[in-house]
Amino acid sequence: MAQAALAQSVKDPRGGVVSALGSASVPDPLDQRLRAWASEEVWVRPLLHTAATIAERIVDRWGSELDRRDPAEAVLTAVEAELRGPGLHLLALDESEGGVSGDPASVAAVLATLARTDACLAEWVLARTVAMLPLALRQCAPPSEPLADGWTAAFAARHVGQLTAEPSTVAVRGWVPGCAVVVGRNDEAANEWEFALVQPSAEASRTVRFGLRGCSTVRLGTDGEVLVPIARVPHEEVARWYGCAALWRAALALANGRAALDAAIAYAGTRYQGGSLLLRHPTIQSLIGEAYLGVMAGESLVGQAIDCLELRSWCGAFAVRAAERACWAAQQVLGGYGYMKEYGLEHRLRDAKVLSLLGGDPRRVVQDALRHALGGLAP
Amino acid sequence: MTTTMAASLSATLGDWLRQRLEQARRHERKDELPPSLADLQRRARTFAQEVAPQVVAADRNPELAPQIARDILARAGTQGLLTAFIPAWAGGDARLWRARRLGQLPMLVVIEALAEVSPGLATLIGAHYLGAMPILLSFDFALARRLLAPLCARNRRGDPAICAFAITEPEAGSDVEDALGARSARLCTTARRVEGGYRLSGRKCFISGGNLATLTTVFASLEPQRTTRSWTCFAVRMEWRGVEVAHVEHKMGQRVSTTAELVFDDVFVPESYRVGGECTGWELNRLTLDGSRPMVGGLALGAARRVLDVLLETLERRGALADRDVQHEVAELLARYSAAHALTRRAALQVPPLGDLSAMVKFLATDTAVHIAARALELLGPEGAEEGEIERLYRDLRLTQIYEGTNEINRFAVFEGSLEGRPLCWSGLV
Repeated sequence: MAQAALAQSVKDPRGGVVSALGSASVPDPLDQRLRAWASEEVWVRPLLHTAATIAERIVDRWGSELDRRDPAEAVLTAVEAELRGPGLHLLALDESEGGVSGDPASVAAVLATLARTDACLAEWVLARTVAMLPLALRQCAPPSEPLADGWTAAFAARHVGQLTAEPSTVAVRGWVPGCAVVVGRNDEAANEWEFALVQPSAEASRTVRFGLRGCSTVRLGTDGEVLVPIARVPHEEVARWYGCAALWRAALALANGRAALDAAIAYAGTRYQGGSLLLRHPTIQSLIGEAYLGVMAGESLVGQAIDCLELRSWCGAFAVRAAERACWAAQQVLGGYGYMKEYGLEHRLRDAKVLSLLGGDPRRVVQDALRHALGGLAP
Repeated sequence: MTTTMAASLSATLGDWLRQRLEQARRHERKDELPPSLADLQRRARTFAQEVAPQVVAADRNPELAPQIARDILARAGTQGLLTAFIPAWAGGDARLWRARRLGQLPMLVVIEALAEVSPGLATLIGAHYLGAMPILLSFDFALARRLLAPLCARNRRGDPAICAFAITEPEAGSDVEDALGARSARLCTTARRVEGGYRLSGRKCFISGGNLATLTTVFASLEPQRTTRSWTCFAVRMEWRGVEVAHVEHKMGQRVSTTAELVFDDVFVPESYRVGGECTGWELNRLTLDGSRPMVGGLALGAARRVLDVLLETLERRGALADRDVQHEVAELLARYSAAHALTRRAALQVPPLGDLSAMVKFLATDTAVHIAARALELLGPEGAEEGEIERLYRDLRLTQIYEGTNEINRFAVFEGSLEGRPLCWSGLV
């Protein structure tokens, strides 16, 4: 049934070219995977359902606006409000505050659920979750303003000279007007990171990317005033957060890739070429099969990396490439239709490509991971 | 004395060798071409640079693309880029003796040069020649002169009048670009014989320049049960009653080259507008694609060359080229580019074009170009994700793996001739 739903997401404005696999009752492996990831937290499951519903609603209403070069401020604010409704920006906080305590598996499941509809929304929630990680460890009383109204924040540049010094600018991914900014400073002498909440004064510039457009990076001016000092966190803990971010991005990238492949299967299951269904052609089977293999391997790696910190950067590097390959293969299966905006696959490929770039060159990530695994033996 | 002479000779030879190497390098950088082609290349590059801001504007504002495309075509016409490859006997500027010696190399050089700025720009211009190709390949001189000469005259005046090529249908994309698929393709565009001509009905989709064209070469079956075997080509004037542009597509890239869906609703086509004989459409289609596929390869490699230039410049500026790992990566890209480029040039020189070689060039060159652009984005780091020239070229290039038959179909096309008993070209290449 899930496949049928995905197939319907492939728009068919001309009628008859693409249609859903109406009778499909194939168990959805991603559903199974998400349930497995979130199995220990049974109460997370309703959150997955809510996330899926909200993502579909947002895309129905503002999907094309979010993919514009410069989405309207009103739309960004409205999307933020939709995501805040069920508390999707609070995943890093504990249950009493409406979150899942940043549990890697549960967060991965929520992000993958969102990414099945739109990777941009998942990246948006990921940005919020990362920003909230230091807040979850706050060593101060909950501030009344501005966090009281929704506890929303975006994570800023990883390095700033001084948290409390002169005015400066910070780069923040997924920032929307009204959102506070959590800024981190690497205090190498103390082997700690210092985090504080600052209120941006003005938007200096916006980075326009060719994918994940609704979740762009904004450079903001700050007046140097710290609203709320949050916490000082050991380097090891921050390294764990980066690992979590890599893991979560892997999960959402793979969900994006799998959704693309499902759409391609739905298309190939109804389209004839050379007298037989496209899906029966060995070339198409190889194209889809090998891409699926990559996605499934990536999902297995995500499952293992949930419990194994050392695997997380490997997992991130592998997953973004497997997901990009899946989106490429899906677009290739649809041929000309895959290149057109209305069929959605070009959007998925752009998002997949940008996801593969956000964490740095995947080849370099693998080299770094190997160096780390070899404990400095490699140069 | 002898030692001195030997040392002097050695120095002279050393100097000579260094000089030759330096010349070879310079030639490679300049893309060694006969003077007439070098001039053509220079003109195309200058034109592409002039219209580059408009190309970027069309990419950022797709709704403006049709008007921008018209403006660019008007300018291209006055600079001779829309008549350069139409033979003089059909009203254009191309000389037959040149084609015999150089094959399609002149067009390849121009397409490459345009694609260095934008593959979409190269498609916009190239699609015009693609549309005119069946008319020229029918070798009906009177028809070609009657249809193409007025278009050439208008183009020279800056009043764009271009051709489009319409084979793809909503239910038949790659089917009509592969012999096996064609046998059972579901084609909906049909032509019915009536007094004085034909009645044409059906839809054609993904037609490059379809919304801008004055004349479209349309392929339709005369007998529904014989589909492509009864395929016949017609030259259809876009102002005729019953011809409609259903819509213009929104694409991932190549936005300056607009793509349209065309509807033909019982359009009357006079017999004098039939291109070639009845039921010769499939042959015309194959000949056209055999000639156009190396051009797609050149288009992709033109853009890849620009990507490599920007990549090398950026890495050099960052000091990253000293990194041996980066050298390893970039060397691989340069080698792949050079191999694909050499094969594409070779295919362009073939007269007449070889179907299997053309197909090989198409998928090799476009796969190589997309790989180069994708890898370049990664090597540029997070900056690669930002909107800019390289990502635009990457999006544009992605289409080259899909149009003119997906690259999967082109792999099958390599064997089409051999299945009919003709030798494969690759042994000839060795």
